[in-house]
Amino acid sequence: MIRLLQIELNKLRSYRAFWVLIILYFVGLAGTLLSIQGIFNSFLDDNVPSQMAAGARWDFYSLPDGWHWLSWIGSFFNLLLPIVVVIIVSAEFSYKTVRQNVITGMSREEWMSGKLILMGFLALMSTLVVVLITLLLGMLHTDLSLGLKMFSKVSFVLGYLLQTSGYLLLAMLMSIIIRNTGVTIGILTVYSLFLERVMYAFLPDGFEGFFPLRAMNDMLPLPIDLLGTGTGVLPILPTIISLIYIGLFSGAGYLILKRRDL
Amino acid sequence: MEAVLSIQNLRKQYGRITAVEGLNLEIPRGTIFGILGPNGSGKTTTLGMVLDVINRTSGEYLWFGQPGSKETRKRIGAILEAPLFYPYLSGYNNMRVVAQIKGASLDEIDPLLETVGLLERKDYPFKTYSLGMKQRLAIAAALLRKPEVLILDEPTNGLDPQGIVEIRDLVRRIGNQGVTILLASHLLDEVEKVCSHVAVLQKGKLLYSGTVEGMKPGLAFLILQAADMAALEREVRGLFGFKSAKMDEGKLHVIFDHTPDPAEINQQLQTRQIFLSHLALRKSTLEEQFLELTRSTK
Repeated sequence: MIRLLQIELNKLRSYRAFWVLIILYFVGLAGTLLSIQGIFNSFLDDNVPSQMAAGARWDFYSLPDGWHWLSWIGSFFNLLLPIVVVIIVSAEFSYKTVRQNVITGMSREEWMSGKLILMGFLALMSTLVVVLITLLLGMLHTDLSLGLKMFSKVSFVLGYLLQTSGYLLLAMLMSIIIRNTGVTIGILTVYSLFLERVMYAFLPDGFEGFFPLRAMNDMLPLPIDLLGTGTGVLPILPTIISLIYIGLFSGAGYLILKRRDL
Repeated sequence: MEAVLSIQNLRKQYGRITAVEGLNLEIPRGTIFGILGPNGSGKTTTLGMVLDVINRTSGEYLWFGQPGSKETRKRIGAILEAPLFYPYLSGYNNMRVVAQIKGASLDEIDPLLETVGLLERKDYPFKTYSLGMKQRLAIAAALLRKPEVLILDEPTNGLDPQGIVEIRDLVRRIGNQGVTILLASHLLDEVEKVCSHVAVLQKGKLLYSGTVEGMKPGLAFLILQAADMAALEREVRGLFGFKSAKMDEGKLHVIFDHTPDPAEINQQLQTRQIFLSHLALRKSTLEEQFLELTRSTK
């Protein structure tokens, strides 16, 4: 497993497009999480009458709510990371390096595993950034006498990890099927912005939760509990559906690769 | 002789087109084995199947007596069609990826780059390399972990004469070290110069398999010219052992059922009042033999 990750990272060693995007992603993610409270507060001060603003003066950083808030805010950056994945996976097909990898002595299982491990690694790194920033800012904004109760909503971090992984695996599956960077990014964009919504608009209510992006988003609902139905833990059904999609995306990618002439 | 690769009834069907049709082939260890055939004859498809990048329709192949797997592929160095590398990675970093996949030591990289003359350029991105350099990097990569078999597919395609000579020298040097080499080419001259054995493919079918010597015709023929060509042709037909004659660019090509002695032919024609202005004995080249082989199946 370490060997496969090493191979994948060595492939990316001096890939400038990859590093520019990945640095942009992590700087953007960390920067947003670190500054969101300040931006939000000054937005309220400038645009909303103070008596109305009082009810909306949410505290993003205090724990345990911080786990949910920052996971939810961080998940908006999950649109950039899949693009990085499309670029690196599509490149393997357009440069036919996947073919040379197999000729050199990788099995298709190993090739796929290497990519899955890389996806997991990227998702973990991203989650780590969220966890570290939440811990750091949480400690500064929380009454530490809460003790272990500070961690009561930590399960949303798992939701963040699963959502990020799910997005990356969908991006990877589409890259394996389409094998072209531009077309894949186009289709993923159209699917995530319109197509999935159009599809469940035609179905009776209640089915939308079974679509992949919707299920993954439902794992991290808006943290303000307007209807008072939230329980403060990761919703079970969307999590199970997301896990099933994660398995499906990985399995389908592998089967396609297995049956294809490289 | 032990076979490093044996292929039985290998077949590849693309829809209604049969790219490889029930191929049987044995590659003996230690040979430089040519796979010869025009473009589209199924050479690359065959190599792709035995390297597991193209799924076979049916048939079997054994590497070193066992079914092909990632482990057998690690004992093989192969370049299929163009050199395939990560364009943005340096020569060295590309070699590192290959070494890691093969399980070769990173210490092997520099000496191999030295062998193919790329050591000074090892830190430059692959995309800045010339075609000849790309091809040489591919050979260096294929030589990692001292392969028992080296597979080269059209290794001199697109190279300038200098590059072609360099690659052929390299192939011969490697072959002399006891590595079995499988060289696919549409260039007869290349196979004739480098290989000891050859298999000729045409439209996915095996036409000939054996030594390069065995493919050469044993018989030679005469090329004759005289002032009165009609008389010449008439008289030639009466000579002992005559088989066939045909005109080619104003000269008469005459084939006998044995290798003729030019002096004796000249003397016999003189007694019949035919005086030759041109007399040459020629062995038919491998080129002609190859064209003959591939033509006859059309």
